[in-house]
Amino acid sequence: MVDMTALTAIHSSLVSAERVRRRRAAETRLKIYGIAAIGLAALALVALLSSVFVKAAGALTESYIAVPVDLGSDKMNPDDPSDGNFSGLVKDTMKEVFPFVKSRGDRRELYGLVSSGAPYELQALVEANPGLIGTVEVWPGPLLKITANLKTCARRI
Amino acid sequence: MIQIALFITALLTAAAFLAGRSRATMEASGALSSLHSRPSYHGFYSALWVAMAGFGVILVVAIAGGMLIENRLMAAIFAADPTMSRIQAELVLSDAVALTTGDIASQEDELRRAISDRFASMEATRVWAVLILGLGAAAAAFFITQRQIERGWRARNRSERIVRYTLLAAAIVAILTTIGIVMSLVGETLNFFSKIDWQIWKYLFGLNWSPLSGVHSGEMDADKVGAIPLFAGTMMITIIAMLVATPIGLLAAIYLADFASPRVRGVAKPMLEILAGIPTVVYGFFAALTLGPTIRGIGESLGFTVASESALAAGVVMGIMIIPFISSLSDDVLNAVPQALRDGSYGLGATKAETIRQVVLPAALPGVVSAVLLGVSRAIGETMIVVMAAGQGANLTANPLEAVTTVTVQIVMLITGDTEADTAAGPAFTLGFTLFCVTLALNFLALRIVRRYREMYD
Repeated sequence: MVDMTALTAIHSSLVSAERVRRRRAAETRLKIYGIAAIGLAALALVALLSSVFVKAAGALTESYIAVPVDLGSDKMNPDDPSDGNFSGLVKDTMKEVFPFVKSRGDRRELYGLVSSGAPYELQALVEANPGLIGTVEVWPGPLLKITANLKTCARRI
Repeated sequence: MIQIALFITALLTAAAFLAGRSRATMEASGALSSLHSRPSYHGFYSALWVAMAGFGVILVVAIAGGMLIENRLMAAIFAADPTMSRIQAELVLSDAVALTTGDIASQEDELRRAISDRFASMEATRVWAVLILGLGAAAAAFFITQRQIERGWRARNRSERIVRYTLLAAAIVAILTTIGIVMSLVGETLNFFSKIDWQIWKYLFGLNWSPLSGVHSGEMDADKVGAIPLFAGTMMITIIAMLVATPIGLLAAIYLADFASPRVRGVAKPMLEILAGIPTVVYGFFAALTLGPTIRGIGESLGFTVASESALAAGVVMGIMIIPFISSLSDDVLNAVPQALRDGSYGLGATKAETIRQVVLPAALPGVVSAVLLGVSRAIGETMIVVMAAGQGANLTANPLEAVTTVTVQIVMLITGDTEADTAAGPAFTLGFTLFCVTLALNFLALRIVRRYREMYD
């Protein structure tokens, strides 16, 4: 028959308490490794999906500039709204808004701020509302669309 | 017309089933137990024969007839103008067919019209032959099998034998396909080796890979087909991927199998499955557009020169892709270890961690090893990620921050490039064959390892 008190002496000695502590620590470590592994996998999934969604959002958003466009009667023909130099008008507007842009290269970059369809949108607007001629119109709608170079421009400003 | 023949045969098949069944029931005259086979087996047997005879004859007559017509007409074209080359004659024939069917022919002349007329009459004959022979065969099968029905007719055994042979044929098709793939690999490989004058060692051990730059008059430059850089790149990316995937996958599996509460399991498992469900192209452009530049930025801030297409980016992303394979397979394997082993270990006073390390993992080792090797073979064969993120130029380096290329990337480059297929196929097939051999050797090795360390408990 086993002497249980002798066993108790072994199991509750200081040495064995130290051993148990280390064994439990090893267990906790393994558990933490497991949680870290799952966490890393989750992190990878989040990074992947968020990168995909953030980059995809860029394709679905549009940016606009709201600027006052001088539709003065000297530049327009009140009798025939579609008769006008709209691409020149867009360029003039941009020059007015950013008067400090001087050199050729900078000018080209400035005009590149708006999409190449801007003159047509402006023309469509004026044709639809001939009453606008002779006014200064602040157009917050999709009139002047920023296409590119916004960062470059912001840095220069 | 041929579609009609197919449709009628299908109807006859259905009719054969119904007729056979009711005829068998009539034979039994009320005592169904007097039949050897149940009535539907009689119907099934008859239907099988009708389908086999009908569809088989239609298929054979239609294809053989088409080939016969083409041969005859080609002969007629050559008889009319013996100076014609084969490809010209084929053009005349396709024009003639277009004239008959009302499509647009490249040109119209006396010969084409004559051939067109002959084609029209022969085609009509072919269609009628298909119709009459096919339906005749189906009808013959119908009547013969219906007449055979009687009480003692062993319809069940016979129809099951037919089904068994059909299954055998399906298995043989699978085997033949495999053999065909290997044969075509071997054939193209030998073809390629003959183009470099059987200097096989220059392919196996050469350090310079640029196969198409050395092509002149169909001859390859043996000094430019060294595959070592490709295999080195493949190995490096595979090793990086496995360094990422094995610890994460295995530890996640251990946690999920033995520590996680059901709630954590319910969240973590689907998450890993989402990771497995992402298409490899998405991983590819994630590596190329997000991780590659990030690694370059980090490296440059630490003072390293890092290419934006680096082995590291491709390897890490590939590792992420492989995590779910390793984790879910190991999870299954760990769960399959008998609970009695765990209980015994706990009963002896072992902690959970000790049980896992010393009892569960050794018992599950064969499964874990095979999970890892499945991951390795996926990493070696993975294409999309490395095409986008690892680079295209062959580059023999041990630096994971440089661009390297892999075997699969080079195969893609060769096959999708605009080099003529004859020239490009040689190196591509040879690479494919070598890859096949490497993977086969790996699997073989893995099987040996698994068998050696297997612990049998059941």
